Amino acid sequence: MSAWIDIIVESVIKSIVVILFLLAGFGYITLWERQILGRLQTRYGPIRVGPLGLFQPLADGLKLLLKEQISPRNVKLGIYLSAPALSLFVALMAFAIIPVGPPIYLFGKWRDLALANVNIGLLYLLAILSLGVYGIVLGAWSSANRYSLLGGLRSGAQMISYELALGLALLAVVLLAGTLSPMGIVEAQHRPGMTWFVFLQPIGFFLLVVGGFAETNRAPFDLVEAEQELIGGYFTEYGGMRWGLFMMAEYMNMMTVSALVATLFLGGWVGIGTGIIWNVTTAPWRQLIGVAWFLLKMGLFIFFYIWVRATLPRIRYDQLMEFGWKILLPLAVVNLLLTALFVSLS
Amino acid sequence: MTVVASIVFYVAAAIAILGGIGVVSARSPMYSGLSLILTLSQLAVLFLLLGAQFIAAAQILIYAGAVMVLFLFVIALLGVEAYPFLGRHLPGQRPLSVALAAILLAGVIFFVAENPRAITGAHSTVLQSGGNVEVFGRQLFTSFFFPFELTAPLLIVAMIGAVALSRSRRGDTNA
Repeated sequence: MSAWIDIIVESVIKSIVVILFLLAGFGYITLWERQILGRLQTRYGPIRVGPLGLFQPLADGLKLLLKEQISPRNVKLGIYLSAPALSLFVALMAFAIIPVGPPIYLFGKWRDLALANVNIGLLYLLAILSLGVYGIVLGAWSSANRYSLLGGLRSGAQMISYELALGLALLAVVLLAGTLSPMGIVEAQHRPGMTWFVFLQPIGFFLLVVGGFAETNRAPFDLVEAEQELIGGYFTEYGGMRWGLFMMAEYMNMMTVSALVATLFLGGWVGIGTGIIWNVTTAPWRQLIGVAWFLLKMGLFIFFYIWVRATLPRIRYDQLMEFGWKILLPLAVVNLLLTALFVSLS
Repeated sequence: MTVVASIVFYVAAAIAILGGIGVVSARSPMYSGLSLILTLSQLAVLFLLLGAQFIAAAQILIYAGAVMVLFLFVIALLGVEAYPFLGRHLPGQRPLSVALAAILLAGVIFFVAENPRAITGAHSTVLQSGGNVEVFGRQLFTSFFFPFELTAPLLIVAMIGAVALSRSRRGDTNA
């Protein structure tokens, strides 16, 4: 029975840490994004609230919470209210299988630095990501607004189309590593004769990056919320913290995709000073270096997200569909076949 | 473990049944679709309880994540709410559906009574062999290879059918 209590306590603590991490990450990535966008456009961005603008996310959050909540007439209230929560729920769930560091020996037991170390890890992630579209489509539909509906339908079509290429790209990684578990994939990248999968799977890396941008509805694939044509797309009728929940979900998905890229292609938590094989003699602080490496790699990729947003214009809807189905999907299939050939020969 | 598992089972099963009732009783097709998603997600929980993690993930990924998204997509796009045929039924639809459901239920009850371990039997074997993706893959490509390959032509036929149907209809409107 004590084993059960141990598992439950461990899971609860990990869940709280992950949720706090994602919430804080959301707040500070929005600040970071606005400051970087500002610099890239030769202006300052928000720097006035607190030192270096560090209190800006708190001010924003407070503002969102205090705003009057307005529900337009004709909305399907139940769905309208639960759609943002659903989005956030799915975004929070997705991060569960990401290993942020090597296992740590604490209180007489090896503990994974991932909420769940399941053997179907990547499949779980794909399944959860594929649910992300519901929050958007349902929110759009229940708003009883044509612009919202158009945004939601675009999103549905986009996410389904790019999920295929994304899934096939991940499959190639799985073939190479021989496991679906993200922890196993990190280890596989450091086996003798192997290296980071970004070098072994450059096409897969490209597919995951592009697919990740599309799945998170970020520029240049943000025509879901194209403000010039659709006002705000699916969240046109949302305000205050309800809108805030949609934003949280978007930024958390960004973090999950960045973490996924770091884990699958950039060697996960392994870096200088961490060592590759961990064992009982390894001091806990070395494992914390691993966490720092992981956060660094993840942060670099989030920076890349923001950089792309400042650089690339939004693509047209027909271009989006053509790119997804006629370029990415065949590329993903060819990549998978080549990888299978390589694995079976070696 | 067994106590926790039974609690999870009864909760998931109850929600699944509620979802099923919702599918047939909801007036709006959108709510029917949502109820179906609820049922499908709870079935995934039941698969997890049986140790079939791969099937559970596939259930969410394919049914809840892809198929139902398309369903909702079509419902939202067509605005089916406004269509007049919704209230209409086929002749004798209600008694027929009750009869068919009764036959299905009788079949399931008979099957379970005949062979109580048939549903949970594979559980321990899958768990013992370590990874369940491996077991599944091996089964798929050995024992069930022929039916697995048969699904390929089936899907192609369905795709050709869809293309042919949409083609001919477009030809009609042009002519």
